[in-house]
Amino acid sequence: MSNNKLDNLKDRRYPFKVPDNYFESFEERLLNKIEDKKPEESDIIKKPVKKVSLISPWIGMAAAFLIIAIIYSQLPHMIFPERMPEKTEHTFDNNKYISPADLFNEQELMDILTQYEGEIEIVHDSTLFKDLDTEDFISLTYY
Amino acid sequence: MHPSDKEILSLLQNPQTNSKGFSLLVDKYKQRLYWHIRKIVIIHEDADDLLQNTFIKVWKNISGFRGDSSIFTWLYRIGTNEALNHLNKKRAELMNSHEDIEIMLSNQINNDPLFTGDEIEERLQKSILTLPDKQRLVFNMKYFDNLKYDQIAEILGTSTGALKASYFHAVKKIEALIKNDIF
Repeated sequence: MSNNKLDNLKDRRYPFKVPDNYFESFEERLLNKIEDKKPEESDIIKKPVKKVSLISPWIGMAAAFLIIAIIYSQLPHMIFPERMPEKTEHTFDNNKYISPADLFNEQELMDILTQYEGEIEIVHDSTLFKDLDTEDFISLTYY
Repeated sequence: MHPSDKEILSLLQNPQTNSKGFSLLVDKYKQRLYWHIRKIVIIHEDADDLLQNTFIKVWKNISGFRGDSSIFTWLYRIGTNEALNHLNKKRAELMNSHEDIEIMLSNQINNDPLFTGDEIEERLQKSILTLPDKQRLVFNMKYFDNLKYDQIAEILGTSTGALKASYFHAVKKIEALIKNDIF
């Protein structure tokens, strides 16, 4: 087939046809389809979505979690009160945690460290002090 | 004799006469629009569905039509978008089955009882199907519908220069395919 044959086709119609009576019946079918779609659309327009309905699932979910939390914490106490441990109040006992600074002032501490050097074992309470010996530590107290 | 687009538009925009206006619009453009869509999707049943959807969209959105373009251009633009979206949906559906829509449509031409062409026309149709969508659109609108480049540019929203280039490339490809007896 040469190029000329493509040119020869120029005046030809598109080589397909439609079923009999297609265009004659088209408008009727189209209007039926539009009619069929109308109720759905009007329903959507007539029933605006309420704002409450948008947040109500979330409120319901939050309430459900709250109820579950209350049941989880309170139900064992209500059913088996004798098996549950008594509630104890935790208070901070100052006497258990005495610091050397509570017993001696700075001058007294220096006297003790110089006087009893070698007898006092300094326990490093921080990794910052791990490379310091007693002498370093005492010299640090002068600054 | 069909009424002018201006007369149809004024009837459409009046709530008391819009049904009559719509009926006149459908009557005036149904055939041209059908063939435009049919050339894109090939299958009659698909073209019928898409033509109905196009007119339904027009009916729903007629109040938003500002008249910046002609009704003809507006209708063609809606119809073209409907048809191209349909093809893309089909491509997505066929992706999993490893079928090719162009091959499927090419086979459709062989078996379509509504195909009335001879052997040469069949080869031409199959060659056109190998073109990318945009080139195919431009080729059909120029070759079969004999639309002006200005009209095609307005419908497709591209420049006439780009359209001329598309048409030129489309013609060259088709001629090469036919010359080499690919189809």
